[in-house]
Amino acid sequence: MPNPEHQQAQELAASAELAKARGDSEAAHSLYARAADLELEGFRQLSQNEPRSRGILAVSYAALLFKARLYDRAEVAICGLLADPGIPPEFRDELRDLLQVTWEERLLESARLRDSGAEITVALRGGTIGAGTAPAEVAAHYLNGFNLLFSRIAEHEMGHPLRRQGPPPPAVQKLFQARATQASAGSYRFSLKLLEPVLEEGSRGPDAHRVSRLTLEVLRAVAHNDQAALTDAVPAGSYRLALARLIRNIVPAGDALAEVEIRTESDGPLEAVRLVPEDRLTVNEAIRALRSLPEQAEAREETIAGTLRAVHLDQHWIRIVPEEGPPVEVITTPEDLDDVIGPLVNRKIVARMSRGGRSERGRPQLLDLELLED
Amino acid sequence: MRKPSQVVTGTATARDRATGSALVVPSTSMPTRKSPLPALGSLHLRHPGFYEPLCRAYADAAAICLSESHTSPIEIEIRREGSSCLRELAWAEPLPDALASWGNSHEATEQGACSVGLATVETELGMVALSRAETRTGADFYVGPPGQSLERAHRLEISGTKTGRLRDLYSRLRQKIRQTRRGLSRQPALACVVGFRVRMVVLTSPEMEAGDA
Repeated sequence: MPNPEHQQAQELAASAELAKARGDSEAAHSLYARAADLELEGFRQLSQNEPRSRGILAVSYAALLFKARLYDRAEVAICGLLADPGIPPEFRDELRDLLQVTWEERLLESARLRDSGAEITVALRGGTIGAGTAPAEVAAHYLNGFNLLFSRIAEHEMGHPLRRQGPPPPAVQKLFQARATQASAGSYRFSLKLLEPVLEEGSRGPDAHRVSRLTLEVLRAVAHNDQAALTDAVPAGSYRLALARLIRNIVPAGDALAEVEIRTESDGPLEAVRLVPEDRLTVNEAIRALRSLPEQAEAREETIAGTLRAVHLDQHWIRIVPEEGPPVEVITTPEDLDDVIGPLVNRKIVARMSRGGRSERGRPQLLDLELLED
Repeated sequence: MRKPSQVVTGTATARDRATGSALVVPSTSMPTRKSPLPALGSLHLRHPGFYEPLCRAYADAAAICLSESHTSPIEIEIRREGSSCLRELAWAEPLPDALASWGNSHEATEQGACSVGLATVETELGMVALSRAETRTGADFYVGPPGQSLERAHRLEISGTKTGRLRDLYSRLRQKIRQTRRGLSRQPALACVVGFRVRMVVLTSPEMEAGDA
């Protein structure tokens, strides 16, 4: 233990974590701020002969300021710590990462002052993402993926039955405005803004803020496979499966992207939902739990990896071209929706399917389809 | 390779052992039975970096994750480089308060894994949590022998999973190792993944896995 101040700072930080788990964000921020002050005291008492201890406490101090949402202080503190040649290189890297996200938070806060409407902000980080830039394919995939998810949730909120084909109703499409936001260090960000529509007298419009909050509730419930929370948020079972599959399309696959962070207009960094590649396992568990498959004693299950080359959901088939061998035509069901499968066309996918049983003319029946990891 | 739909319950099968050992942590012999893991709710007595209320909350989280698939006590397999052992792990049935406060399954898995991971590090390596390591989104731990200064401490990255498949456990371990190497290449570090459903803890040092992940 370096000193009693560090010990007290740890205890306060732990208390802050427990307050946050209870949902008391205000208390958590206050405790993090007090912990940061003590951590700074602890840091100052260390000698230059303890470089690792200084590095550990320096990062801890900066992280605590960030968690307390004291972004101006965090910026000044991190710049000061980076100017200290006694901080070892591995900790300087961590401080730079913290400075990048601190700048992002400051930009986000200043943007909110200009626009208080309901919106979802999405940040892509790590892997191939640069400072305010992203490979066009990745950016387009995520813009489209969130647009589709947001549309489905608005349709649910507006009381529409589950759409099996075609685009969202015009009334829903008119609600959205996707905007790429200004460049910021370390991530590529965009936001989806909900507009307040002018409605005819007597017609029902969505509560824009509720749609954005519901989006996060659904994302959190699916990412954690919390079926009870998902049922609370989305009572309609058919919607739950559709939303879980749309969410899987936006969970990072492989090393191209390290993290997708999503938050509403009123969330701070601690309240944001983060999707990381390992969440794929949990989301798959959620999908399996949602999809009740009929018992088919004589059916056998197969998995095929390849490129999705053709989709004709009106005729209930898709075509997959494996790495080797001839194309495989797979039968789909009404549960397979075009906004879930469409974005996977011409991409590497893995399909789970069953053969035998009630499969039509020996063709396999699709059980599940997802983007293949890199 | 196991089909994605198949689920393993209980301890590892021979095939899993072969697959797992080929991936990251060689397990060269049958696991030997050793002394139990310490009580999770009292780790704070020996771990100065594990604040008591947090220790108790994380122990509750571990109990919730374990109770989903098992009844206390169980034998949990601990794999390290070249060795494997079985240790008893006991827990108290989670109370309604604890169940309510750990409604978030993902956080319960991660924090419960910290509890089991620290108990494993104490038993296997004689190390205790010396300090929390604050990060942007949470905290890791610095561990070392009791009384050691932070100057020579190891950073401990812990993760947990409730998957029923060993290959997922090893996949998570590889991700942790990559993450540890990327961010902390010049620090001594340990990576630990706790598989609640498969009753297994895998503990490794990324330096020892340098040619693998």
